Amino acid sequence: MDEELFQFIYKAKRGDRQAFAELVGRYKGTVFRHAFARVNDHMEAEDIAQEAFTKAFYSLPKLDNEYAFSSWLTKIVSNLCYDHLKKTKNKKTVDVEDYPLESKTSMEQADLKLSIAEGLQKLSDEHRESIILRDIQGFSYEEMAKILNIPLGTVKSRINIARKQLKQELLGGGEDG
Amino acid sequence: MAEHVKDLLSAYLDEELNKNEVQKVDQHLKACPACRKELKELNLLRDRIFSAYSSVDVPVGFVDQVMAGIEKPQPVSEKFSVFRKWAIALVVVFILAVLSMQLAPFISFGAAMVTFVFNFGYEMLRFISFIISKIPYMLGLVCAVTGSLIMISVWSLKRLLGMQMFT
Repeated sequence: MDEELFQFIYKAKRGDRQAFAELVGRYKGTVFRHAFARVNDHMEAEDIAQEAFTKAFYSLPKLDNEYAFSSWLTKIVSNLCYDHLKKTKNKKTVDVEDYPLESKTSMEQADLKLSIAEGLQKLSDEHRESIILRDIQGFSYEEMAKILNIPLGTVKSRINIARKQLKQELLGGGEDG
Repeated sequence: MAEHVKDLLSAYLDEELNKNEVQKVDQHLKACPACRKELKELNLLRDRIFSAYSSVDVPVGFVDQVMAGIEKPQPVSEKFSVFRKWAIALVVVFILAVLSMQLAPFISFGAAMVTFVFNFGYEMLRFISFIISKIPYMLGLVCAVTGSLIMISVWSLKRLLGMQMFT
């Protein structure tokens, strides 16, 4: 963590709104993409990301270690996504319209994104979350174990199973696809 | 050929294996085209996942919306900080202190009244015991009268019950 980021966290923890705005600017992509990959809906992901930052602002004074900010924030988003999915269980199906067309840079990438997103939605929530934390967010297995509050061995096996299943889905070898 | 190491390949790719496991996978990969293919596919998959989401844009004006939401007043339950609770407790203590000072004359009057009633009762008891001790056989007389009254009452009650049985 660079010194500037540490200072933003330190100041935001003491109620400095400007410093917190800087943090939102830095982490908005990470938080939004996490929510989007998890709930597969642009609007809902935006709401969850906003709620996560609001919650983070008011809970920040309770954060013991400034260096743990990133994983702490991820935990907040993760829990909010979990609550959201619990509420909307069985209501959602994969909806192509949910994807933001303006972010497609090429036909190839657009096709690729669709298939990856569809494949992700076919995984269980805990396997999808493992993929998000590791392959989208880039957390280490140890950090994931702390965020998810599970043993390291479980993280290892979840990622292994999640990737195998996703590969199977993308290649058209899924049980229901 | 040794058994396949497919279950270790994900962690191998993420550099999350220990030294012995890495050695085991390295050795196996040299001799196993199937596991090499699997590793290549996993690597491609990982890159694809990352690139699929790295291009997802955050909505325009997101930071401003978050900050505007924070500016809004929070619900009462969230506003109650420890400081506010202490401030309220101090105000309550202050009000109680002022009230007790204002009510001091009433409180002392009440206390005086209670003391008077207690003392009066005590003196009355002392007076009765004094009278009893001064009149000879007073206690015996009182006991005899009381006993007689009880006996008469019991006899009357028995008689009354007996008459009712025959009617």
